[in-house]
Amino acid sequence: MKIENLSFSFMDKAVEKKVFDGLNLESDSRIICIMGHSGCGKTTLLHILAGLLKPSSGTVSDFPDKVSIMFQEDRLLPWLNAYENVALVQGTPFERWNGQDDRSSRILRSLDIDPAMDIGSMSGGMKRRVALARALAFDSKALLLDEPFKGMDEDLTARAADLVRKQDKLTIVSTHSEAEAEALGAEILRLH
Amino acid sequence: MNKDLKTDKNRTVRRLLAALFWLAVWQLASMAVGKDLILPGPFSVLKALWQLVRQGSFWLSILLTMFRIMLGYCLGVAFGCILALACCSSRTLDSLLSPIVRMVRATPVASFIILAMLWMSKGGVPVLMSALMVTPVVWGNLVEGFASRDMTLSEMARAYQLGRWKTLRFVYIPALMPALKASCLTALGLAWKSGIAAEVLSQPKQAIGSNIYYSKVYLETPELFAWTASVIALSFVLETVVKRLLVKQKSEQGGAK
Repeated sequence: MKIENLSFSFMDKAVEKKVFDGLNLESDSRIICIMGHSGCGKTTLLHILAGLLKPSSGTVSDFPDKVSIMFQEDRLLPWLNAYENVALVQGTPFERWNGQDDRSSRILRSLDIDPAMDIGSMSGGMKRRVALARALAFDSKALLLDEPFKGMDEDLTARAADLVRKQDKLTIVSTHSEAEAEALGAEILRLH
Repeated sequence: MNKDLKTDKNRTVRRLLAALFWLAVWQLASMAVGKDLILPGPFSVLKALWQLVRQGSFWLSILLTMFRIMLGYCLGVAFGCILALACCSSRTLDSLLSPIVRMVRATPVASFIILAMLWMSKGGVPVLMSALMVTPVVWGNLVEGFASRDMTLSEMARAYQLGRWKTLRFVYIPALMPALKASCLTALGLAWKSGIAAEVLSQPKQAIGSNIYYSKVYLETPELFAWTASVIALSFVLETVVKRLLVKQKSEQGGAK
């Protein structure tokens, strides 16, 4: 992945606010952790890499087109259960939960989530795991994970990190925790 | 459990007492006026209603009125959904259709009834009026619901390349269901009132509205009250049925999970 002279700004009450200006990052690692203080632009950078935001200027190269993103908020559909939220993003025709033993349900179970569970009855940490399962289930070339282990205890973080590590995909994680970066075996890039 | 039952019982008693109070007020007012022609009392109305329900034409009028109004209501809901879909999916269509729907919403129902009487058969007027009153309500609620939708979910759908159909079916439609249900309930009362008003003016054969008109013409005020009481009772029944159907649909959606 190579980022050259990347700038991003937005208008806030007619005042231009720069998130970053002339950002340069380069890495050959498969798993990269982006670290930095709150508001330094970690989430914005992930959204640019996902193609959800257009940079004001600069280029991103050596980065795949089809990516799956785990947002900072869970963004789950409350009218679908855990399995259906994950199965929806798979390329196959959508099926309601009917006790299937397929990729979606296996990923959920490996994260200690009952596939039949309603989103409304989940804790914050559980929703986070469903959002992570959805990102992992999506057929993509790269993973963009925005604070993926928020609300998880040490044991779950280790299991989730293990699952992420096993994906043979370019993975970029935004986090505040060096321990999480270590659990992922990731290269750390710092945004200032 | 016992506390719930007691609360329900207390509520029923309070409602019965309130109904009895207003019936007594009505009776006293009628006695004060002293003329059934001006204000018949509850007993005269009940007597007139008893005479009506023993006639086959009464039930035929009720059935046909219900058919006309419910047909208009269903058409109105369908048109409202189609128009909302068109307005939400294309800005050009929104610019083209929104002023028309807003104009329909602002136009007095009487103007439409008189125009429709020139254009179509008497039986079709209540159907069209019900549909015309329902369409803008459903359209307005859906368009407003769409405008205030959770944009983060739309972005999620885009990021995961859900495509138009999956996004519509699993993201937008479930998010709009509360707005659709609320509009269906609000519109039911409007369909009922406008449909009866259309029947009063267009006087189709075998219709509640036509009978209300004839009662007025022949100065049969107790009968006019009896027909009106039937309209109110039917409106309550239909509202209850539609509410139950909407709740049932919600629980079935939950069960499907």
